[in-house]
Amino acid sequence: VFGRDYTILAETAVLPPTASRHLSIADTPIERFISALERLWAIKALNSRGEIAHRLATLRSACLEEGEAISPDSIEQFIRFLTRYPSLDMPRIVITDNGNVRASWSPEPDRHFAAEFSGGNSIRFVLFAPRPEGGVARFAGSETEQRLVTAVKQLGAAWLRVDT
Amino acid sequence: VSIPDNHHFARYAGGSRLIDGETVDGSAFRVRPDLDADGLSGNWPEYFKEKSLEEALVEIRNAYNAKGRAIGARSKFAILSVGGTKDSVWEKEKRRIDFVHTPDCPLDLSHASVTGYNPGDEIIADIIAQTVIRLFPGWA
Repeated sequence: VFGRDYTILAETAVLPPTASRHLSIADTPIERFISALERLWAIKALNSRGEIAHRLATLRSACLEEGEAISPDSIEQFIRFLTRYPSLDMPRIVITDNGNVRASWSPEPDRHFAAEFSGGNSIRFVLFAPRPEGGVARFAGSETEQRLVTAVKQLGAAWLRVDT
Repeated sequence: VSIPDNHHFARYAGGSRLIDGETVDGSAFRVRPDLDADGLSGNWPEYFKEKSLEEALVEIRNAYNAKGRAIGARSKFAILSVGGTKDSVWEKEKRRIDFVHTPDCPLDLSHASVTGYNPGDEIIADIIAQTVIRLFPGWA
């Protein structure tokens, strides 16, 4: 069993490509939410976009009901991530107590990858990945949007389906 | 006072922390900076002697209401086996966590806390989430 703290931070942060453009036309939380769903629907290669949109709408209702907020920045970052990796399977999605989208692709307890979108350019992640020689490696850290999937694949997330 | 290993711990999870209403995400077991200085909040069902888990949950919901905490319609109480969760965290990460009785007098006498991990310990939180043995509705 391996327990490590894994942190890779970008040496040069890259600005999200669409955030500032969309902020000007949709600046209330509900407008930004709808705008993000529209962008989600536009990802034609993402087979699960309908399920994801439904899940996000359900989560928004749950948050409203419990007086909690969803971060528009987080949702927009999540949609950017899906735009980058449309061949990913349908994730499990929740909202954390600080309003962030957290998506996980975890077919088994020891094959667990969860990514938390906090709205900047980096993404917090937790990864449990079995090792061929036995045992399970466990990592937590942060990585840039651009590098996250490559990094966790290198760390052992072989079950993630991405076309890179 | 540590809670015996053969007892349980009930943790409230809001609807947005639930995966399809059947599984709880690890974020529901994260210790929050400042707010959870004494550990992760929850309740000790066996504090209510002679009551079943179901009956104890009625008392715990009453305590939540008495404290003015809203219980969401989609929320659940996630039940952990104290010994099972401690063993799992030790086996997987070699960390000792503990479940302690921390009564919140006078309204929430079964209040309990999980201690031994910090806000940055996301791996521990996700391992704990994998040890949930049962979910009860937030609303009866």
